Amino acid sequence: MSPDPDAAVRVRGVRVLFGGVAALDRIDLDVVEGEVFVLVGPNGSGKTTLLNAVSGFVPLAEGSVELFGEDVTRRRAHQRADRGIGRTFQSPRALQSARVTDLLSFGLYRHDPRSWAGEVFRPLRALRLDRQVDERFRTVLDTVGLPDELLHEELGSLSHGQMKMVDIARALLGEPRVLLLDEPTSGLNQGEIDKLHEIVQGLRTGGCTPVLVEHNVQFVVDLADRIAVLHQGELLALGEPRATLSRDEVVEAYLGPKGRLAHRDGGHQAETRN
Amino acid sequence: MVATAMQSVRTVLRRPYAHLAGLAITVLVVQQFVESSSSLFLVQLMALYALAALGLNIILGMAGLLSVAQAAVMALGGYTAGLLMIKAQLPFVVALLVAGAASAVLSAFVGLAALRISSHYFILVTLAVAEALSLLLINEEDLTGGYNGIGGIPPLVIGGLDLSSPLALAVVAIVTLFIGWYVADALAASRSGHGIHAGGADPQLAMASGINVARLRFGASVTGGVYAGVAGALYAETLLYLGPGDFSLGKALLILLIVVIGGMGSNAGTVAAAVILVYLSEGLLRLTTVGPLVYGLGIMVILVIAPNGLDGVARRLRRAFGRILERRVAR
Repeated sequence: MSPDPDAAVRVRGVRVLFGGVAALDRIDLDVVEGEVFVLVGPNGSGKTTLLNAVSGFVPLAEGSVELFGEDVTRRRAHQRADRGIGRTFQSPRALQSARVTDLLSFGLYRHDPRSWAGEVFRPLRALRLDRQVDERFRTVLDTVGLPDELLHEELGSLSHGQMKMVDIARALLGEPRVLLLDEPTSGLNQGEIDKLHEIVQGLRTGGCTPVLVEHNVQFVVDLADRIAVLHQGELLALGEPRATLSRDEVVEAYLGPKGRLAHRDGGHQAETRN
Repeated sequence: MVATAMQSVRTVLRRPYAHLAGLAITVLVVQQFVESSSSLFLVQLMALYALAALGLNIILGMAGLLSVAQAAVMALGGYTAGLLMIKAQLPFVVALLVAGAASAVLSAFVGLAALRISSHYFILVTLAVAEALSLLLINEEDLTGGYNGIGGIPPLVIGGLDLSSPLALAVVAIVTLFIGWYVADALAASRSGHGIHAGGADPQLAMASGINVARLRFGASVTGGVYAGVAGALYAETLLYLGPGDFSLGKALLILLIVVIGGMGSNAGTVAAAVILVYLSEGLLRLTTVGPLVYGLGIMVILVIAPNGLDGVARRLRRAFGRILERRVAR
């Protein structure tokens, strides 16, 4: 792969081992700034592991990760977040009794104006800052299509879809330059999926590069500029979504050799299964 | 409309007004209605245990580190302050500051373990620290008096003002508690507090948000230690005598229970639970033979009915009250 000066994320020769088994085997990838990049592949193909490798949640056996030209291989997860990597989780599991505003405050951490000393010694200013932060939270909830009455609700009382949207809002508050979204559509209803589509499009215009792990092929085809197909820890194919998804080896990876025949005969779109 | 009303109620109930009002009312009530020196002693204990528990609430309730070393940290504060006043004739305020610093260092040492060791083993480390300190207090007889403890701690004087009467001591303890409460509430509302809370709630999510979980855990341990140290120093002034038994594992568990029953992470719940549990443990347990049994059963029942402690109960009530209001308004 030719070096790309604009790469937001550059993955080189990344290898991740789980007890001797290669969950990722010498992956090379460039995510170009401003594109919508999607990782697809069957279960266990290493998509989430790749997100974890980029965001610093699994140790690499080999290889390197660069963010905007800076080698962050040795950086820890929070330091990578400081350098502009945001991410969401497949099933966010923060404390059930924490409230929505708490979770959003976690996300705001890097830009939170409410210092401890300020809260102690300047309570009136703190009151003003609280209102500003509150306003910011309402705006971001609006961005992800949630009503601001949810602000003081406990996380345990939200639906799965709402919880995932709140987690996206949490990640947005960190103002990431690259946002890694781990299966954002899983468990969402159609309305929420449409909203997500809009959010991802909006990210791009806002100067943030979205990288998604996604099962929902229809969603991917409409949205992605490029997709990468992972299979058993290896990069199987990379390119424009429709063409890539209909390549023989990709169909075979998803559906097996027989599926490939069926695909040829039927000629319909490859459907993935969870 | 209900939301706006709730908003203005929240503004009035905010720092620092709520704390000032609470302090004034508490002092007034104690001054007017609590007369016997034994009752005033109980008030002092409530305030001091509440203070130590507020510290543990930062460590456990917010940062999620289960520690049984808080009584040991408090002991170090008490002994440090006591010995500095007896042997070096230092004034109380200086002794208090040194005690706070010493306790912070011990708590920081415990906190360092949390950076390396996962939660199940962390509690064992805190247990070991607590045991080690208690053995130190017993064996270093020349310094600590061993089992006999240290006596003859000079009565409380601050800036030439004699504050050694039971009422004055109670007021000092209450004022200190409210300052500690205010600072803890400010922490919870701040960036650092949210970071500590995030690290306790979900370390991965916290790190993904750019939060240095290890550093904030350490900071939480140090801060919680200062609370225990200050509580220990005032405890020395309350008793004027300290022995190793004052900070046994039983005391550590009392402080732990205060935080759990108060509702992890809730400062108001912690203070309320301290008042209730200190009253029960000093009153009920001392006066009756079945006391400990009732106490133990009571705590089990509370934890079953209200797993989120007093704070959880308060939240449920608030929500029910909100719904009733909403219905009224709708009609």
